[in-house]
Amino acid sequence: MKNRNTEIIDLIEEHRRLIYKVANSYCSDIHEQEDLIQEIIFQIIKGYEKFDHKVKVTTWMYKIAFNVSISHYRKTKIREKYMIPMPEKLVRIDDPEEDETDENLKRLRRFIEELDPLNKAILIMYLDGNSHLEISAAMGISLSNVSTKINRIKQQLKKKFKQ
Amino acid sequence: MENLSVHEIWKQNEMLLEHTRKLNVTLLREVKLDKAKSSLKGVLFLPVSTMAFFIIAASYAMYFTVENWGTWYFMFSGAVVAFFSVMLVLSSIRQLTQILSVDYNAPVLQLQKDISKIKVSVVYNFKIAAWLLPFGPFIGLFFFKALFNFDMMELVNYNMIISFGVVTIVLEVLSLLLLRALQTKNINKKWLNWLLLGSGSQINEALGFLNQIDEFEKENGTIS
Repeated sequence: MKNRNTEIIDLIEEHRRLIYKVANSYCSDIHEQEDLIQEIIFQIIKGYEKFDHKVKVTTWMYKIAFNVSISHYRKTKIREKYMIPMPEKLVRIDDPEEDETDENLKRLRRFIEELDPLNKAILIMYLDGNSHLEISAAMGISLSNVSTKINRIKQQLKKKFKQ
Repeated sequence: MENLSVHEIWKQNEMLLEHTRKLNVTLLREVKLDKAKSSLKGVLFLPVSTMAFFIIAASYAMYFTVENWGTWYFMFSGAVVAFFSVMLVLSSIRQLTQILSVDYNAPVLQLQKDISKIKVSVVYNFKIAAWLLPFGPFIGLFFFKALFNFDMMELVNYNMIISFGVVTIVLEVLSLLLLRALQTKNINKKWLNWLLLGSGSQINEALGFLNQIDEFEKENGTIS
């Protein structure tokens, strides 16, 4: 019988894409992303002892990942008010792969970036194929509220792609 | 634009992320706890230091009350200082409990609300200070006796008693106004922000987020 530590580590490895996606959506700086992913993993491992399996393990992991990411995002927003950012041109190393990225993907990423943290979480879970019930459980809002928001986001997304 | 193509675009994103990221298995297995623990330490400093200070203040105030038993104004002022110190200790304990019980397992909206409320709880300490205001003259008596062993009432005359009364009434009115103003909905007033200087931006951000969560929860209408 696997011990609990090995169990959770295997789960994290299996669902690592979930963690990357959430971290990447709330934090664009690559160094801060490393910190954020570390924090998410720490909270997942810490929280696994109390996980009662009443929801899917991915729904539970989304909850933790969003909670950590949104808290991190809010902290960095305050910090940014007092920091002078480095001019991008001095530090940015052009990634040749970015030139090849599909225009639609860029638009989708920009759209996600512009969303507020709570709607962002809903869209990410929706795009990952989670049901409305799972989104409702992770976010702590009603099913009808989830449907309303998803429809609203889809309409905004349609407008964005028509521009 | 079809739903299916959005999902396809999202899958492209996933593949790109997979390609550019590596999950450090060593990191996973070692589980570095230091970073998470140190971020918690920073948040704990204020309630812990407040609690420590006011435990000492409450203890001294009780000792002061007993030592000056028989002199009604010292007994009363000692009791007032002790009472409000105990209230601040209880407020700090409540804050500490809230901070230590932060659980990232909770649904997103609930947890983000709880974290925002912890930040806003500093307003409650200002409310305690507002309740304390009308007792200002007695606090003055307490401090002069405690620090300089000087009984201000020995200097009292008719004019002083009138001033004492007027100051108490003015402070009472100020206290009522402050208590009314220290509602979280009023927190964007400039003078209140000045009062909260140092924790102001965090509180405003927390309140802004609480309002956002409230709006987010209320949205439940049909799509037009």
